[in-house]
Order: sequence, then C-alpha cells, then structure tokens
Amino acid sequence: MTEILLSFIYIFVFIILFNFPFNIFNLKTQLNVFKIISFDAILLNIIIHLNVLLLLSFFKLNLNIIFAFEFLIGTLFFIYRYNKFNNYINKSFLQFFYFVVFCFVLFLSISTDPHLTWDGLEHWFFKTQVYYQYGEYSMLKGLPYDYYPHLGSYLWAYFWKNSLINLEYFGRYFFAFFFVVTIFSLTNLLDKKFSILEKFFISLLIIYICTDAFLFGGYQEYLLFSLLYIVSRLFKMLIDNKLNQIYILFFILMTSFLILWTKQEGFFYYIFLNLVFFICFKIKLNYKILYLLLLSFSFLFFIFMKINFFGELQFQSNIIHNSLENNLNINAILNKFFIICKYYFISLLKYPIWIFILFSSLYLFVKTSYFRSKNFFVIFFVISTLFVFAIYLHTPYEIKWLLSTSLSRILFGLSGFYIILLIDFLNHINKKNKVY
Amino acid sequence: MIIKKYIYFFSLLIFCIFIFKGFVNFYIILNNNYDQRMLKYGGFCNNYGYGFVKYINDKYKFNYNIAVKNFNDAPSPYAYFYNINKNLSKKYLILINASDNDLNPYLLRSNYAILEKIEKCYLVRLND
Repeated sequence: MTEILLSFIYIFVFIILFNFPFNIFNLKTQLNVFKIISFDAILLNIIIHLNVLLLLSFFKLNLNIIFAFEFLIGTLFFIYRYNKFNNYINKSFLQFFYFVVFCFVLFLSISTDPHLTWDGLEHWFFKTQVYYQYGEYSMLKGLPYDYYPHLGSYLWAYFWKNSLINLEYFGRYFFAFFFVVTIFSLTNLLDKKFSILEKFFISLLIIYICTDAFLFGGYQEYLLFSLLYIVSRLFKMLIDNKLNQIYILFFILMTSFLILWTKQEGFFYYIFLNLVFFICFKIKLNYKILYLLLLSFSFLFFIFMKINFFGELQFQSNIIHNSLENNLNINAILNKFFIICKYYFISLLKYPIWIFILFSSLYLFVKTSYFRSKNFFVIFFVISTLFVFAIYLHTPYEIKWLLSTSLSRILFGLSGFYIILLIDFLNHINKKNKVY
Repeated sequence: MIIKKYIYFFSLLIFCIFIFKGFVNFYIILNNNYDQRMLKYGGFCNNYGYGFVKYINDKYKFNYNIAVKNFNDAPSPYAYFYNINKNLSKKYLILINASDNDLNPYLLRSNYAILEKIEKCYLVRLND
C-alpha cells in the first residue's frame, strides 16, 4: 500500500517541482513570451529544470540536497500561487483529474513489473547506479557503453534517490510523467470546438497507442519523444508568432541541447534540427548570429566533455570499418535496402501512432497548403529517414537482428516530432465539419 | 442532472483505469512486495536470474562486484548489484541457467570449482 500511496503522491511532487519558474496554474497567460496554457508551462519548466540538472550532473553534488533545494523553491512558488491553483482546479478540474489518473495508471504499470528491460539494464542502468551511489561524471568511464549520453540515467538516479522508499522504479516515473504532460499539452492544441469528452478520448487514444511498458523498462525513448515534440511545437510557434522570437529561440536551443545528451542518435537529431532551423526559418540576422554562437558553444561543450573524459567522441560502430567494402557491391546494397524497407514497414505497424501521423500528413498535404508554411516537417522527415537508412546500410552488425531490435524504437522516438500533425489534422477536419 | 454527471464522470474513470489494467496492477502491487515482483518478472534461475544473484549477494556479502554470465535469452542482472566502490572480482563468477555444456569449460579448462548450486545456477570460484 505504501508503494501505491507514494506513487500517487509522486505525481504531486512532480507538479510542485515543475510549477516554476512559469506559472502552470494560469489557464492562459501572456508571459510576454507567447501564450501558454498550463501543460505547455509545465513543459517549458521541465526544459529549464533539465538543463540545470544536466549542468549539475558534471559536478559531484549530493542529489538529495539538489532535490531539497528544488522542492523548497517549488513549494514556495506553489504556496504563493495557491489561489491560482484553486482557480485552476475550479475551472479545469476534469482535465486535471484525468491528468492525475493517466499518470497514476502509468506509474502503477511501471510499479507492477519493476524489472528492467534489455538496454535499460545493459546500457543505461550502470550510469544510474553511479549517480545513485554519489558518483560523478568521470566515474562513468569504463562502464559498459560509457560513451552513451547520461542525461536520462542522471534523471533516473535523481528521482530514485529522492523517492523516500528508495525503490529504483520511482526514478523512471519521471519519463511517464513527462510523456503524459506532453500528450496533454498536445491535446490542449485541439480547437475549442472539441468537447471535453472528445479531448479526453483523443488523449486516451494517443496515450494508449503510444504506451509500451517495455520502453518504460529503462529506455530513453519517451524522453526523446517528448523533447522532439517540444522542438516541433516551438518551430510551429516560431512560424505563428513573429513577436518575441528570441524567447522561442532560447527554448529551441535548450531543448536541442537536451536531445544531444539523451541518446546517441540525439547527436544527429541535434545537427538535423538545427540544420532545419537555419534552412526553414526567417529570423532577424542578429538573432541568428546569437543563436549560432550559443549553438556552437553548446556543441563545443559537448565535444569537450566527451574528449576530456572519454578520450574521443565515440559511436556504437566506427565510421570506417571493414564491412564497408561490402557496400560497394550494388546487389548487397539493394538487398540491404529492401530488408530495411521491410522492417521499416513492420516497425510503423508496431507503433500505430505512425499510421495516424502518416494519414494526417497525407490529408494535410493533399487537401490543404499546410506544408507550404510548415515545410520543416517535410525537411526533417526526409533528413531523418535518410539517416535511418544510412545507419542500417552502414552498420557492421547483422542487419536483420539490428533492425528487429532497434528500428521500431528509433521510429517511436521520432514520432514525437510529427505527432502535432495529428492534432492539426483533427482541427482541420473539425473546422470543415462545422462549416459545412 | 448532478447524479447523471457523476455517473458519467465515474464511468470514464473506471474505463480509463480498466484499459490500462489499473485494477489488475493495483491487486498485484497490494499482494506482492517489491522483491516478490522482482522475482516474478526477473526470475530466480530463469529469465534474468535476478533471484539467484540477490541470494548469493545477500549470503556472501562480497567485497567485490561479481560478474554474472546469463545463459538465458535475457540480459545479465549484474547492473542491479553493481557497486561503484567495489572492484570486479577475478576469482568469483555467477553463471545463470548454465547447462552442462556451458559449465564444463569453466570447470575443466579454467579450473573453477562450484561453491553454490541451485537448479542450473552456479557460483563458481577460480582455484588458486
């Protein structure tokens, strides 16, 4: 019973932790930045907190003290905003209630089967153990897959260490919480014409088809999914909101920085997202220069930390390897290409959210001029798809085994970037139905 | 009207919990503590061999990290028991679900002796 009770309490711990700096209890706030509603504010707060935690992860600091400090500030903000919280609950009780319910059922599902799945145990959990046992960044060297980024493992250890009953799976609750906030932020974008019941069922459907207990077993895919959603949301804001671009740019920068430290492929997504940013968006020149400077600084920081602590920037397989010469054979390449296509199709079916995304994209492409203004979706899709094919064409490992174990996860992570298309499609359909 | 609203509200709640197996999960957590659930899903000598490694660690309280080789189609549970302040033992080794064919190379060629055996799980020690 203690575990169940604490799981429930942990939802409110997360809410208190992430209720600052932006006020999450205002139904609609003009923060001189952009209009944000409660769940968007939580996402922005999470981005700020994760960036701070990421920077702290390079120092030998006591996780309990960091948490106590963060929680204290959160509590003070919460008390200060208590009236607004009451207002929020009065006006949006149902939404808040279902948010808590969704978090709770996902927490229970993690708690029921607390064992870690493959990569969680073999790749990520060692890093978590280091931070949990008051280790520091330099101690990651020599661990299995030490060259993998450590952000997810650090967060896991951080929330595990501060779980009161010291159970490992409490550390993984954060990924579920972040995921549910992401989906609620997404469904908040639905037109006002949608009833609460419709919004509830859309949230339920998305959470249901995106939930994979296996990935909650220590994988970083949900973290990546949520971060990519935030980037696509910020990109969209950048097009819709010509004012206050500088704030949006900062958040894009911070989110892409987190992506860089989340997974190995995050390194490439970081490059692609910023490439897409420079290709697709018309920003004031001085903003672009400032962005480029900060971007270069963050990238150099990443390279510096890797080289300084691990000796090199390492990937799972070397860029140049012996099996590469096989790729000179056109038959071998074609054979690999068709195998990748086959598994690509299977992986799309494994996570049905892709079926909805593809259908929505097709509709928006054929029936509207949506992608004319939001071409960043198309460009990122082309680049990321080429990247996925390139990974598997390049790999020295047995391709079928690798495809069957990893492609679906890569695609799931990427779906976070495009999931907003589903909402735009629903808004378009709804508007159309109301007109005719 | 208010009763109708509450019924509607309550039905959605039940539906939501039901499709995420909330009731079943609630029941499992209430009836099994953390260790029992870990044993159920992590296995004793099957699956990850979590139970056997925990049993060995609790019994012997080694001052070293003991490497675990899992012969099941599952990852090694070594990370669960990894202690950053201990070195890896060169002497001891845990084998999970090792068949005779898996075990023989250690016993015959590498001069290991069996210290503990439960089902097909072994704690072996390299003889001096």
